[in-house]
Amino acid sequence: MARTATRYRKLAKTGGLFAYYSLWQGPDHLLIAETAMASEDYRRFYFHEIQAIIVQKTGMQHVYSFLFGLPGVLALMVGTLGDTTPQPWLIFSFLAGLFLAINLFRGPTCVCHIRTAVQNVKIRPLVRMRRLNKVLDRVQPLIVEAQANLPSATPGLSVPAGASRLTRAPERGAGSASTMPVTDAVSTRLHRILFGALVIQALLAGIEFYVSNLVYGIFATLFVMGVMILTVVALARQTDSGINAAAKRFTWAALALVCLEVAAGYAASIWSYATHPELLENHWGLYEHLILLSPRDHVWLMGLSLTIIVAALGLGLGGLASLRQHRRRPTDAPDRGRLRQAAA
Amino acid sequence: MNITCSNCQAVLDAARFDTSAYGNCHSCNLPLRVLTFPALGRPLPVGREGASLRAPRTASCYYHTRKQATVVCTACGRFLCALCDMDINGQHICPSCLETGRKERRIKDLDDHRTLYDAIALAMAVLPMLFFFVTCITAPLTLYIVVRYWKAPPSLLPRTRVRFVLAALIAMLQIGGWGYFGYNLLI
Repeated sequence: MARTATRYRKLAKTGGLFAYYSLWQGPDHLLIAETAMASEDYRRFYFHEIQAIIVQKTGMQHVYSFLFGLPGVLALMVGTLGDTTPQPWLIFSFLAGLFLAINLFRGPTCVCHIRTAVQNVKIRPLVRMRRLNKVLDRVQPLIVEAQANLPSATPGLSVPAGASRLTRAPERGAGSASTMPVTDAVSTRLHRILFGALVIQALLAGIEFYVSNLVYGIFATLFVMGVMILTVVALARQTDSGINAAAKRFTWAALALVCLEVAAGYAASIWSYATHPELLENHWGLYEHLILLSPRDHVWLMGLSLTIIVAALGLGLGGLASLRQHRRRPTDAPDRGRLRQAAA
Repeated sequence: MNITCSNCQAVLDAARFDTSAYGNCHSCNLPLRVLTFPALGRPLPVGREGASLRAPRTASCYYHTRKQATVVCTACGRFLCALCDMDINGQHICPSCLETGRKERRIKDLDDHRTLYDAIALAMAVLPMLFFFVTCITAPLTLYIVVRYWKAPPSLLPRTRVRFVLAALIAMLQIGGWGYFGYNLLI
């Protein structure tokens, strides 16, 4: 039980600034670290226990290319052909083009699972084929070496007789439901409300381009405050819950968006004080002034509004999409087919 | 020992395993590749029962006095029967040490969570600068976190203490700034 330092070598990493997954190679195991702000959770896969690595090619690279490419091209067209101020459109277009280039450079996407005797776990840091192949080149010999004293697995595989084609496993929930391993029910209602609210917030921010009156401004401000509270509550609730990591990341990103909005509001109030010194003694006047600001008043406000619209829409839709898997099938659940077989 | 498609749970054909090319899953048609290893053919380990004491002078299990000791706990040195022997990656641990070791994070193989106090300190030093007036509270707090958790178990992964140092520097600058502001106010 002595405390000894284990040297790890980084193999892959994916995620954002505040929450990310990383894959590390230890002396006798692989380690997945899930880092969320100020905490790290680890999972180990010992070389001598790994039974199989399953790799699936996916088409997410094309989806990302579309998501970055289309808005980029549209912004470029508006910036160059439209009669509005071109700078924010060109900046937006440049950023979209940058992300598109990074996406194309990183190559095709994939999903990788590691299977052991008791579980089948998605290796989240491995999302690109290029990185996956490098990791496999490094790890495969180590696994083979760790299992050198075991006989080859392939002859023992019990594939149904005459199964030249793949056969579908029984539907989930069918049969002896009471003996089936069931993952804990996860309540995602709050997160759904939050992501839905983000989409609505994007729409409200879009309406601000055309509507600028006090009642609407107060309503929009209250709505943003509601989203802030929702975000904080969702962040508090998601700790130790079964909500998938992607949804957790979207929630953290929502917090970043909220912080951006607060910081922008703060900067706008300072700017208003500087340009209208008479507001120093009149807080309601300042608030009214801030509410009646339209994105079309200033190029920076327009850029900020566009950023908020895109970010809120992306986070809302992305978050809702990430929660879909809670309906379909639980992530990282134990290998159902195998456990069902054991139960039988 | 069947391997299922991780997308649709269809059982995969063994003929498709260990090939360099990607084949399509019959059920969901996703291109996939399966690499198998010898552990796939190994049966699941079966739980063992402790053997009864046969001779009076034989060492007995610390927890089951009627069972024969087969191994010594790596952590505490107690004799253990086969039932109490917990094999943790080659180490033989008794249930008591397993529980204690997990709680106190002495068994590295069971350590599955760490709190990154350096990240907390750095965030507490940097983020409040957006609203500078709260730094008069957060700067001393940051220094407290740096001092209190300087020796706390760090991440299992390679990581230096540079965040702690940065956080302390920023917090000291903030405290210095407030001190200067207060001094000017008094003068």
